[in-house]
Amino acid sequence: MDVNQREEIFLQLSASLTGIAVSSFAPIDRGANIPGQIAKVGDLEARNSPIRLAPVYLQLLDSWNDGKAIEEALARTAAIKAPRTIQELINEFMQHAELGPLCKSIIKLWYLGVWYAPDQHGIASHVVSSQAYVESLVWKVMQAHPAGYSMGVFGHWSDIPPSLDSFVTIVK
Amino acid sequence: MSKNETVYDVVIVGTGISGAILAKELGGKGYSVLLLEAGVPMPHGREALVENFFLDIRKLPESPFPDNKFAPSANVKDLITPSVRDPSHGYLDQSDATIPFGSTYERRAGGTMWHWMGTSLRFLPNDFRMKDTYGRGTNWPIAYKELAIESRREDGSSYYDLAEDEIGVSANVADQTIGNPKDGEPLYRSSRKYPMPAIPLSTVDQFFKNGVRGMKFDGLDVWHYATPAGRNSRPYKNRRACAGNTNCVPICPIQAKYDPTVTLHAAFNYRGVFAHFQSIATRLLVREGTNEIDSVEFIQYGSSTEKSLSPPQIARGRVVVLAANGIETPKLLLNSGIGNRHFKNGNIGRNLMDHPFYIRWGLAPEKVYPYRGPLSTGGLDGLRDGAFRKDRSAFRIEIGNDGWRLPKSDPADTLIDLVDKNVFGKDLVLQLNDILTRQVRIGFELEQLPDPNNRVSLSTHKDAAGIPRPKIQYSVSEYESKGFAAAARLTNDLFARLGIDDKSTNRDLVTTKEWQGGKYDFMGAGHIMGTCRMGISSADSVVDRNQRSHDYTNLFIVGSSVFPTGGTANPTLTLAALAFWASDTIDAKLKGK
Amino acid sequence: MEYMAEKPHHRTTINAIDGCVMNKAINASIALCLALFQSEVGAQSQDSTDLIPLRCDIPGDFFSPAKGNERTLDRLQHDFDIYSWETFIAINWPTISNGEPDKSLVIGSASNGDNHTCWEEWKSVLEVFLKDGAKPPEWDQESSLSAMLPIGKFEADKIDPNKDVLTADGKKSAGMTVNQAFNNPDYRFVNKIGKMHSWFANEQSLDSGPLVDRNGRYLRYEILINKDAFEYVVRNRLYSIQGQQDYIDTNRHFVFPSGSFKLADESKPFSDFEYDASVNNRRPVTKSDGAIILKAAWKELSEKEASSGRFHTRKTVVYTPMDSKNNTQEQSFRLVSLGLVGLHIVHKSSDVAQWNWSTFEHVDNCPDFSDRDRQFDGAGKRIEYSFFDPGSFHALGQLERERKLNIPPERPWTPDKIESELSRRTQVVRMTPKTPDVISLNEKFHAKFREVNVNSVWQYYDLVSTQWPTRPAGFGKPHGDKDGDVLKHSPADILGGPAPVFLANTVMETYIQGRTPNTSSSCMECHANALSKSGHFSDFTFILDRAK
Repeated sequence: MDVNQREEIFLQLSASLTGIAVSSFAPIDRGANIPGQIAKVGDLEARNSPIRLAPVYLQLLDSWNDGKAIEEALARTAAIKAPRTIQELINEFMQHAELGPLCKSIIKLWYLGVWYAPDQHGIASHVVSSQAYVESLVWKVMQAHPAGYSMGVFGHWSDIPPSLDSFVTIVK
Repeated sequence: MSKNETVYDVVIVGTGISGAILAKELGGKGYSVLLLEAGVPMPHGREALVENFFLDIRKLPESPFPDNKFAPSANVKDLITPSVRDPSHGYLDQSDATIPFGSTYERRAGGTMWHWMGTSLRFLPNDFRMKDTYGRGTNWPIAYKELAIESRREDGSSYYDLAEDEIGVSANVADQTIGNPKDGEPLYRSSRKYPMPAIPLSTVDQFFKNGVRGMKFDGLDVWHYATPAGRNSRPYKNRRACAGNTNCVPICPIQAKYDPTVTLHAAFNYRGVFAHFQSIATRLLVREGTNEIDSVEFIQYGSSTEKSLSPPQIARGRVVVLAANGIETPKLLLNSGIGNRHFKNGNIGRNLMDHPFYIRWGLAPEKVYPYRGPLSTGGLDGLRDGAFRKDRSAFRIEIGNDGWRLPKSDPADTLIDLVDKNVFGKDLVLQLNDILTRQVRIGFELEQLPDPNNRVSLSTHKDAAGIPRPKIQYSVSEYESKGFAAAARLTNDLFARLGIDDKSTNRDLVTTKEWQGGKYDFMGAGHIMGTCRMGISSADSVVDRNQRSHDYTNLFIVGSSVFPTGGTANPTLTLAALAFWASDTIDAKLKGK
Repeated sequence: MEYMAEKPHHRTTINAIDGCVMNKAINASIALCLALFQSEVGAQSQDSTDLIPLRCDIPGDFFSPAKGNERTLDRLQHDFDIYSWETFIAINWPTISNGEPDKSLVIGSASNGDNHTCWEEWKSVLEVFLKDGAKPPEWDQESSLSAMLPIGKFEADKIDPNKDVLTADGKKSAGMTVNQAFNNPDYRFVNKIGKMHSWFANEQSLDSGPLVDRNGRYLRYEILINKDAFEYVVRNRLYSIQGQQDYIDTNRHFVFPSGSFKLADESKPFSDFEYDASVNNRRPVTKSDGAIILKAAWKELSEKEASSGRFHTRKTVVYTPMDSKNNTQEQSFRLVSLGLVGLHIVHKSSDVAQWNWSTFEHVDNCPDFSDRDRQFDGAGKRIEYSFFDPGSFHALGQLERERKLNIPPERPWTPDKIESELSRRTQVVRMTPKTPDVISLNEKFHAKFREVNVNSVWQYYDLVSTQWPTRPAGFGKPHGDKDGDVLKHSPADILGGPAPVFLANTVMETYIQGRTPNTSSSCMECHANALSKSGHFSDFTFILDRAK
């Protein structure tokens, strides 16, 4: 698996874990139709494209337990074949002594921008970066915005927010 | 002439809103003013502070503001450890507190209002005469109308008006006089308009507002009020309008919310206004053989990471103003060693008050979309006054727009709960959306009566600069306990009426009151009041109605430490109004009486 | 390019994981985008910067000749940067009058390499938002001094039209009164009132401070709007608070006019554009300019600087209001030479509803942070900047000097005076370097200016970057439906994913050059907070807050 393939598999796994379609991780990837480019665009970056965090998150996962768990999870995800669904695979992961906690850490990374080492039983290590915090998903699924980072206009809070699917695309 | 020989017209200890208003008002009149600030100066921008907030998992009130070894302060980190009562731990010595004191503050240029919420309520007329009206607490030596109605400037502005204009308060007068009888005491000058119109009510507020229509509690109407806010509803004085960052506490990223650096900057535009930062006032020195303060002794440090304290230095002022806060001001007076001789009856440090803050939370039957807008835009404020005050605490009820951020560190806790139950994928999105969009939280700010046993004194333990730390004795009385019980009863009525599923649990806080079978955990409101209260005589107070010391003719004390009683409103607006009052008194004194 | 081969694999796998297909709406909109991209393709997709001649037409909209898979973030950024340069060239074109270009001339072709520009004939916001919400004079009419008083926010400062204008050093009379200077077409006074206090603070989250150049002079700023923006404001009476409220009551949202290209067939929603035959059919023809708002930063030039031939220069009168707070005891008017050192160009167009944010700087402004210790150039010559002094910086101790970077002078500020203390002159560095692609683009355009005239002043201006929305509101809709209403089309994503995430001009966002969301400089993040005086979202511009 080369670096790009690895990131793609990681994104697929992440989408299934978080319930948020990859198109919501990298709207620009879809909108501008630039396959696989976001992760290797050098200095360029766009707001509201959490996909930029994939390499950073992978690095954290690689650093845990010699990276064996993430390697196994990615390999098994890449190898999945119909009729097996990824949901079935993740259910299996969740029962697994190492892959279960690993998957939970992946969800927490994307949802909160916070690193919880898989064996630390929910003890947060650190906020990955301010970029990770403002791009985190939990705020989108509640149709709101990160505390301290509202990009709504004055008075928007007095109206019902736009629908959930205008914030994120949910996986099927 | 060396620094030590300079005699300023005014030396002010503290650069929170009180010190800032005094510096701006007196600097504008041409006086020379020196501000002494124990903490760090104003930053050139707020990038670093906001970055600190983003990177702190806990998102506490102090998260943006780095600890300062030489100017330590009460903080939440100290309160949430098991060693809160260990006097060698933390900053406040709480070893003798019946209940640990739960309010915190910042020592830095601009003071604690860096992380105030922005609520800018006036006190009510009866708040100033609790003894006369309800036989409780004590009276203020001033009346509501002296702050709210009487003209103090050419344009007719009252002290409250001046404070609201300085802060930039968004509100509509009509919203603030709901339920006020037509023949009742006027609350505003007839022509009064707030500087900006009210901030729109959140969807959470609208849910409560619709729900409480017609609701009564113990025969009183439970009105919903839009809360006057020190946040811009329009661009105001070169600051942007609120964008609803839902982050008033601990820091508004765009400074749409007022903080005292606004006033400090304006003060420093005057040529006569100076400041020493990282300069810890240690003692007041009395001019030999007089009842005047000669100077303020202070020590300076270069950087809070290295041990680099200067020898004591002296700041001389014709007038000296203490504008630290309800804990640091009495600490300084007591450390000066002049308290016993001149300040009669040991009143300094006594009658420490807060607004015990009791919160309840639940799930609304419908989506109300919290986590948007300013942290709070409205409250159930019809119960701030009434005959019941003979018997129990009054309270105001703040409606939170921040879901369960306060009780549960949400949205993180709910996410973690679900994930740890193996919920993932689409289920996770839908369950999170269902829970997080229905979260509601209310908070009661209870009036606390003055009690001389609630006090600040000097600990035997010292801080890194060698200054005794404040020692706190604190409790809540039966009066407030009955207030908690009423608050709990009201919550039950309210939640039943609105169909809110009560999710409140005991949080095992160190600040808990058990009373008649009920267990009420509460938090500090950050409203440190009392400790140097104003009154008619030195027998039971420290300063007079002009906030001048009874004992020293050139010493003034400003801030909420002079409050005789605390009412239910947060103290900010009232103490800002009093700072304008003090500036007029000091101006008159400096002009030569 | 190498990634093209990966594309099918990529899309297939993603689709399988997301559950067959992506959300239908998104898919449909992508299809539309693609259709649009393909229809826009007019020429080869290779970078052909050096083949486009200097033109005086403002590009009505963003245009990228790249198609399909070539439309990467890098490539679109590159094309946005070209769009910024083409706009810069068009608005800096020599003007006949009223801001119209003189097609018989070329930018920078005059013997001194400089020219009076189109945009300097646009309207200053001071001419548009008048006392009591009065209607401003028409586009082609001169403003009168009396109608503009009091100027801006300095209501207490009663301007005396008979007061003497002073020389640049403020020491003696320049031989004319304020009124005479105002009516002297050579000085075109109206656009040129330096109004220190009211703008820099407006743009930043803290009232954080002015910029003082190496000569001790305070930087001055002005804000101007083009004819399309002006007419939108005037036609809808947005110069008054009541007019703004009336407009909102009927129209719900403020939406400034968008620039656009001509379609080959206006009756077809996805028709291809009509192309400019004079540039090899590689640039669409502009149908309308759309609203453009400028913020220009000017420094007072020393005689040496004025004669250096490196600055676009304007002889003008600068006004400093009376301000009792800082001992500016009386208002002053001085006749000075100003040099352009920074220019924000903000342009609304059909495909860029969140506006296109271009920013330019003079090449001498300051070094990159990484070059702060360099005192000499390759030839051993001392490097000089307008806002950074390598010598005095280097003379400080290591710790101290780092603390001096990008720090405003302490209050009080005295904009009519020369700051004599070196420590009060700002030491500015650029915290985010320009990308290699922008640097090479700048060199190409500089070369073009030199082709016209080796003395062209325009070769001394650099594009810093262009901030643009990667998911613009209404993108992919038929041309007729691209109404530029961001709130209507993108209520959950007002900003549309700005790229780059942060962008600062070192002489305008000097003190907020970090990388903290919502506080460090991002054009769109900040301007999304803009409100009208009536309290409504004002389409990313703060100018509507000036209404009376």
